[in-house]
Amino acid sequence: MLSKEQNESLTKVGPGTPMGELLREYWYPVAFQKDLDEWPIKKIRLLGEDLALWKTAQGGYGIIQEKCPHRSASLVYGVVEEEGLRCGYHGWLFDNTGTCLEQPAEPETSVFKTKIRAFAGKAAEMGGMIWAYLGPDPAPELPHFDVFVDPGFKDVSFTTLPCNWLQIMENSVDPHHVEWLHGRYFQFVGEQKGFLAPASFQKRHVKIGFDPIEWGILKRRVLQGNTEEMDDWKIGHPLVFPFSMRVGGGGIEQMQMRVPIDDTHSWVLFYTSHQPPGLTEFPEQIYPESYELPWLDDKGNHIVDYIEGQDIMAWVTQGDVADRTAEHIGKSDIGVIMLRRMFREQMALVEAGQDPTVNFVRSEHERIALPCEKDKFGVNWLDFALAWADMGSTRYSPALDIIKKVHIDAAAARGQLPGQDGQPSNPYGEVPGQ
Amino acid sequence: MKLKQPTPSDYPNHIESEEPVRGKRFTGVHWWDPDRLSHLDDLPRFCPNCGAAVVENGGISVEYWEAEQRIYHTWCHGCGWAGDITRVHRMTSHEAEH
Repeated sequence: MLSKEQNESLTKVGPGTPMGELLREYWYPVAFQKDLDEWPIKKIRLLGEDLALWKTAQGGYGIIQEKCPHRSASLVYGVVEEEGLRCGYHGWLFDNTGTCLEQPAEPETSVFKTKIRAFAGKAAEMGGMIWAYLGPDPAPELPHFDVFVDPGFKDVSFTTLPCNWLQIMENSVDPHHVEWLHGRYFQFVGEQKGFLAPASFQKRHVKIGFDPIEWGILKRRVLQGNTEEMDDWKIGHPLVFPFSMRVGGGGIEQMQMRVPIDDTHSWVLFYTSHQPPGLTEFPEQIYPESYELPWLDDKGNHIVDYIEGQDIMAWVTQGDVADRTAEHIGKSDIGVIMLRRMFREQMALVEAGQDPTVNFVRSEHERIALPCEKDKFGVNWLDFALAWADMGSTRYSPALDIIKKVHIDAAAARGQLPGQDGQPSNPYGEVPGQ
Repeated sequence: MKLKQPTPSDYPNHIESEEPVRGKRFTGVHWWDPDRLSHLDDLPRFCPNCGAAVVENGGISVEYWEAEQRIYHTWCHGCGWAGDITRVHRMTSHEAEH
């Protein structure tokens, strides 16, 4: 339970707020590359600010305040020029630092433009998405996490939810919900609708643990019938501070991202790389497959017969900003408590003029490997992957058949299809890095 | 799609409460409003290590329940101390076998 003031300090993300200033120290995905290739300017709302994202004439990206400093017309309806973005209303031209280069209607000798500056952030492409940074200079490096840069078939589902991003993040350090929301509740929904829910999610937790790590919080679990020698405890998977969670298993690597649009809305993405061992090449893609995720049916009820739909129901029904003055948390919520404390500690660093210390990268790099289970819940890899495809958000993917074929072909290459000779259940053998 | 927000009339057990609960309420009246007040009453004010004000100095205190205890997991921004603080209403012990 928190006081009203503490809850507000953790959930308000606008400019000048303590949490807002911490969150501005990080890069966020804000658009798909293919959207900017179709039309080079896009309206973005991030951390309570309205912005214009554009693809420069040189093929790079810029992000600038939406309202032109002249008379507040939207720069989203501007013109991409060689030098930058020109307002469609009166032609004021800005470069990607926000410097005003031209005011066509002003006298040539005027120095008016030297007094004008638009707020501008930084933008860059990674993994088929455009990422934006709105914080102070010098910006940190955009972290090249494995799932975005490794070869694999990329599939991204997304939606905008009417709730604050923090209550979604708390879900990521709440392992018990798996056996109930995706276990018993999923089973119950299946009983009502006439399908079998995946049994692997119904295993009870015997032990859970959390470790603060360089990237956030590492979450571990021992499920009933499993041991501490299994990946779920030996490796675990991380909440990636401040807005993501890395999960995976069975040849699936995923980063779940919860981008704070503003205090009461979040852009939620499930960025998945299907890269099962056994294959060295994957179906060719120009862009990641991307598609909107439905979470309400035509009667306005939550769709709860798939994993992410169940999570979304839990997040959204807490309210647009979860009322933490009305909660009653217990010992099993220790991960949630740990996360709130981590946020407060990092906010304090930024308030003192220092860099955050969690997931803050200054050094140039090619790739960052995150710890993540390969052998998930101790079940057959192909079974896990196909259940993921049918019972999770992937079922809405236009590339669902391609994805299933990738996993089936990989299992065949490993000799692990039903009827093939038995092989070790973990196709990696020794897990790299362990 | 904007979801309908509940109002007090949606709750069959709704009871209008007089001050001070209403002033500290974040949403509608609920049976657990006394818990909100207790949370504020028992919130640790000062760090047990350095004496700095917890909340005013940028720290955090999160209340959680374990059996009969209400525990405040507290972090002090002043000195970095972190720990669980709980009020003790009754000192209890065990009875050794004899």
